[in-house]
Amino acid sequence: MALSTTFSVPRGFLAVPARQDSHFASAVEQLHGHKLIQARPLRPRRRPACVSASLSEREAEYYSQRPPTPLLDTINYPVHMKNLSVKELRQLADELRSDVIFHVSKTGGHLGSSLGVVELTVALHNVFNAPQDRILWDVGHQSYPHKILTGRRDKMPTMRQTNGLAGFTKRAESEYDCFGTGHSSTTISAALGMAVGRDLKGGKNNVVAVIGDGAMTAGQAYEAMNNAGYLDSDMIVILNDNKQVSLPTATLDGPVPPVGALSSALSMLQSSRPLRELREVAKGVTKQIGGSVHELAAKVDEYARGMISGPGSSLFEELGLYYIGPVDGHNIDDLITILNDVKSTKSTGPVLIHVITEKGRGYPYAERAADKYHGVAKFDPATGKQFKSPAKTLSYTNYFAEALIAEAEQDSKIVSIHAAMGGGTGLNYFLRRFPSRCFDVGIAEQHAVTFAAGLACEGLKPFCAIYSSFLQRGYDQVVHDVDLQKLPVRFAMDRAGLVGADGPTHCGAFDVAYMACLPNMVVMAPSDEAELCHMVATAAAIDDRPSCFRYPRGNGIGVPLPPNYKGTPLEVGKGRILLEGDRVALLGYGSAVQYCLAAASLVERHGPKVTVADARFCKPLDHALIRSLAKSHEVLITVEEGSIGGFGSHVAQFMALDGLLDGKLKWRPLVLPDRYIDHGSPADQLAEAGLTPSHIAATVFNILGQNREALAIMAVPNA
Amino acid sequence: MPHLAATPPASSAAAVPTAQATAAGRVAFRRPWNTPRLRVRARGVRREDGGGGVRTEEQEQMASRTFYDLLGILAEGSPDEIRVAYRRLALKYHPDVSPPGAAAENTRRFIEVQEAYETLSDPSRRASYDRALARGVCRLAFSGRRSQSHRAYHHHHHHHQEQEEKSGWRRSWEDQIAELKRRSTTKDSEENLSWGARMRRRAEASSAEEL
Repeated sequence: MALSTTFSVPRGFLAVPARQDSHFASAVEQLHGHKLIQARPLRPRRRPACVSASLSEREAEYYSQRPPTPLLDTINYPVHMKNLSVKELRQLADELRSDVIFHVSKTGGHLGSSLGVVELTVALHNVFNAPQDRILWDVGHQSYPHKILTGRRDKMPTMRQTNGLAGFTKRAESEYDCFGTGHSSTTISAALGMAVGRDLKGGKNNVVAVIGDGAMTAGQAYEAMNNAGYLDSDMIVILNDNKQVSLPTATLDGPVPPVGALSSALSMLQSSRPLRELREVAKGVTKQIGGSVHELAAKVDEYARGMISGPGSSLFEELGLYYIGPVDGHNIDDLITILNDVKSTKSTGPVLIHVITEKGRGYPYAERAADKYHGVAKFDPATGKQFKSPAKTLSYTNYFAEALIAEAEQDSKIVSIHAAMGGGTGLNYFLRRFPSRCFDVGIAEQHAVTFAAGLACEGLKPFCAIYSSFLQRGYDQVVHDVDLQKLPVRFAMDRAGLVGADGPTHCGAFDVAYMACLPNMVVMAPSDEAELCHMVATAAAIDDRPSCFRYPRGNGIGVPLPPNYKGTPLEVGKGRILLEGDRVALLGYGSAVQYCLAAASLVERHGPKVTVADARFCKPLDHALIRSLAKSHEVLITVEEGSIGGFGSHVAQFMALDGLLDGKLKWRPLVLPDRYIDHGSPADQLAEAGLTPSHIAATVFNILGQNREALAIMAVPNA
Repeated sequence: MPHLAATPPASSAAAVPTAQATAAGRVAFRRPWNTPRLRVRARGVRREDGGGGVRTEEQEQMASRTFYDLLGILAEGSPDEIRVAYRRLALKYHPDVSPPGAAAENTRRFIEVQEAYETLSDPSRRASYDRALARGVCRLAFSGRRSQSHRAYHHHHHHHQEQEEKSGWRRSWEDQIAELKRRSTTKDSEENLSWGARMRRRAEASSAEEL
């Protein structure tokens, strides 16, 4: 996902124009590299951690050529790290860091998070014995150093590409990836399961879960800790605290403090000093308590620890986890000491180690950027400048944000809610325009939905902008808190359908199925960005029941937009016909309409003129449209980028009950196949799914009996 | 104070130097009583000494002492002696029982005694304290910190502040680790009914059987 970043760009270095077209990028890179090798030694300048804002930077602040990594070259698997001294491990960490930067610069991906855990990864693999010892990475986007150290360094150039490494941990990829992640806050639960399983089998391995402070804002983390404290099984939870809760932890105008009360509690933990005086006074209380001295000592320690370490550690202690910290997460000595100590102690129960890191550490541009280079496109390591090919249209996310702002300008009751995804949902724009009407609840989709329901009770018009796959987490709340009570909450589901490099964990395949089966929900999908604006207006106008609309990742197709992005509400339950033809009708839902249009032009060359219709609404269906299409055509094909059980099923249900399938109609629903589509480029994924225009056209030809044309279309893609 | 009153101070036992063998596995160091020691306050700011830095915060005339001196026992004192000595001194110096004029002074002493007892009553902490004494780097206040590895001295101010903060963290987590180790020795006692403890006991039992 490409996020805009605000950072200072070195200007005019050696009179090379600052804006680098992708054509010239590699040449410029070579020029930079050449000059840099001559002009300066191969060490990055050590910069203090403070921000230095200087627009007149003329030098690159990082290597332009990959520096040699002699130590890392000898490490293929964690076992090769066992005999390294601490000094060598530090060197390894540095080499690993530069390796990550150079790999991500070529492939794009998640950078900042990986840089923050380099030392932690090295320490973990040095102390523990993966894969017997289980190491789980929450969300997984920080697992690049882990992948490099566990036998996948040579595959790093394929990161997030078709048939390449996944951007998150994936069990099928390597035995060192114990648990597949992508959504957050799952690792403590999984680790507890692995620990309990180990106990039942009588095993002796360690289980370690690495989870960030952002992921800690999700309820599941507390559910897991609560259970872990109760079961008291030996396991280690490493809380990777870098004060980045939302993505990005910044508005468009600069950083904001992390959302939520927990973050301030965690930061109090960092600043409290051991209050030994207080401890002595607390001990004075022991004489009142009575009991043997050992019990006294234990009680006083319990009491005193709460006083010494601040309220946050008591929270973890209350949940039953033994708290250790805060620990400098960039100091390998400390990390190894602590991990060895904990590992060598028998019967610890669950232990939480609070590690403080800095996202983007070690790469000056990332350290300074507001979004810490969380997700980047390919970039030039020396200057930090990302190569983003200019697009003629904005992303659907941008159009949604603009359309919502346009609605909110005229209706003061419109508010927006998102779950730690201000950048990804575009609601950072909304926040800038209406600072008090945008709510970031942290990674808490369940709460976001019910919170929106509460707002709706008070007559406000809440727009919940949550990715299609993340809304799965709040599904019961959608059913029980919103739909059952018929509260007018609007769901804007971004990243619907296939999402490209993020892969199946982020794929929004199921939202049509799970939304359209709800009795009171209005379900719609725009086929282009103008329709999106209209649907935002439509949703704003639907005030007696919940509604939702889905839109894909990617940019608009370039249709004229309503002025100022202000749409007009559509008539609910009415689709539209885009192309008139005969014999064959393609009824598309959402972005699939564009594939239908392309397929129609492919079919036309050798076959009939095809009717293309845009259903717009899955619920309520446009019955009249479907009846007319079914009665006046021989073939009806529905196309959607969703799983079975969605739009096609609803159409089938209607047609069956209406008697439309009793005649000669040939009816084919095209949906995503019944398997998970691996990460890759969007075009590859679509081909894998069988929903490209060529596939659709071939389906038409096959039904019409024109098998030759079908084969021809498939044999020459994009013919 | 029913608790403390129930066990009258057996000061005689504490004061007599004993020649008994020390507990198994614990190293006892003989120390002449008049070896000079550096003096540091029992409480107050602890500076990070960064591997060879200067001790700070001298106090008014305090004879250089170790915890053993403070409690009035020999370095080889058994845990019982230590406990008894502590109780005696705690009773003597506790702010609640001291005359009003001497309250401040007694409180300070009480806290010193508390700290001494805290260190010496824990076997592992006492062991590291003894080692530090033997090396001659010890003082009245002992935080159980492990020896610092060499670290660079040149920092500019901001970095130095960060270092101070982080070294503060180190003291805190070292304490926590020590406490974890102490806790784990009793964690699987029969009273602990948690699922994990039961499984651990079962695993211990079955591996003991196999041996």
